Amino acid sequence: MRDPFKIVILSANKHSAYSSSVLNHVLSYNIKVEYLVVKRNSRFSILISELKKNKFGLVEKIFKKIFLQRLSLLGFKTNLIDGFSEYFLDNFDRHSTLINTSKKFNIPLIETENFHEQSVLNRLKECQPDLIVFTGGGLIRESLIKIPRLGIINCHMGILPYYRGMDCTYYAMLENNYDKIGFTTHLMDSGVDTGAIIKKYFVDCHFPISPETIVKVIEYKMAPAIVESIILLLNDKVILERQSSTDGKQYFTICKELKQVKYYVI
Amino acid sequence: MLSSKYINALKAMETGDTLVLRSEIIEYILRYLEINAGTILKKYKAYYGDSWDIEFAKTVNHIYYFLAITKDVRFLNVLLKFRKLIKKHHFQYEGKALDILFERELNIMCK
Repeated sequence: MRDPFKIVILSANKHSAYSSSVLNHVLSYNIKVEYLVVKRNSRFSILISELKKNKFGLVEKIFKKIFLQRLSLLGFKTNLIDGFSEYFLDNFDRHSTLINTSKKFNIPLIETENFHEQSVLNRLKECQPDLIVFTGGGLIRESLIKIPRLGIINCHMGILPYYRGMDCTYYAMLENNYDKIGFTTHLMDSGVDTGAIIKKYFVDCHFPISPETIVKVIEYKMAPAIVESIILLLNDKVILERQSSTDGKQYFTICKELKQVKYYVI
Repeated sequence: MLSSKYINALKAMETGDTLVLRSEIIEYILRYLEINAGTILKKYKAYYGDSWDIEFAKTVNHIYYFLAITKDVRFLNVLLKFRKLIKKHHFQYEGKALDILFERELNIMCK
């Protein structure tokens, strides 16, 4: 029998419901999680730069990502919580958070301000993971990409190669591309969502539905989907679809005027 | 300060020979404007000095032109992000005319 596969999970923060779901899922397979690397988001400069970019966006982000997620992890389920938290509460014990599960299974947790810090890279190199699972935390550079044997896997909230970047569901609806709404698992490279595609997951929109609802549906489905792709990849059951940089477009954070457009879904 | 790559892209956009070259350059300019949306005014001021507003208005004109010919929603997105800035500084477009322009584009997008 082969040794268990070794993976590392990268997370945007230690309260992430998405990361917690992914961690709990992979532990149910014969996979060893060598490290959990969690971003420490306390840097004042990051806060200031985010604030400059979009004041209200930041407040909304803090409210959704930190306050509501923590609230949901404490067992308060409201309609305001995102799809990630809803999936976690529907499928796992609310106490099996990233921190609690890492303690329970003796998984070392590294807190860092930067995934590319030399000490982090050294530790990851030493453990020689088969795969790194990205569950959020910013851009990834070449120094990290070359460490795992198979690469770094990500689940992108858009159908690749057509929709790269941010707010892809909104843009696909604005462009009337209802057959290109969903999410995609792929391997990361140094570009923005340009790495080889593992699997595309389409979301059916053939009924009146708001983009916010579709986003929530996508969030709900992402954790089991990325775990499915991890298993396929580790077991060498994937035919990767290479992307060309000219295949699709990169989209950026959508402004509030376009978000408020009335969407007409047939 | 604006990056030299961006300045070269602006120049190349005005004199570009082939369509392929133009589309790559347009993608680069769009990305640069989006990534630096919060600080673009400062960067233009630092680079162009007193004539920053004329140069920025030129860029806005280009983006509007690309929006008009491509109907690519990404150009509308970046223009909407600059709308307050454009209105505040009374560039070629007067505030009210600009609103009508955006409304019209939004209506086209939604049809």
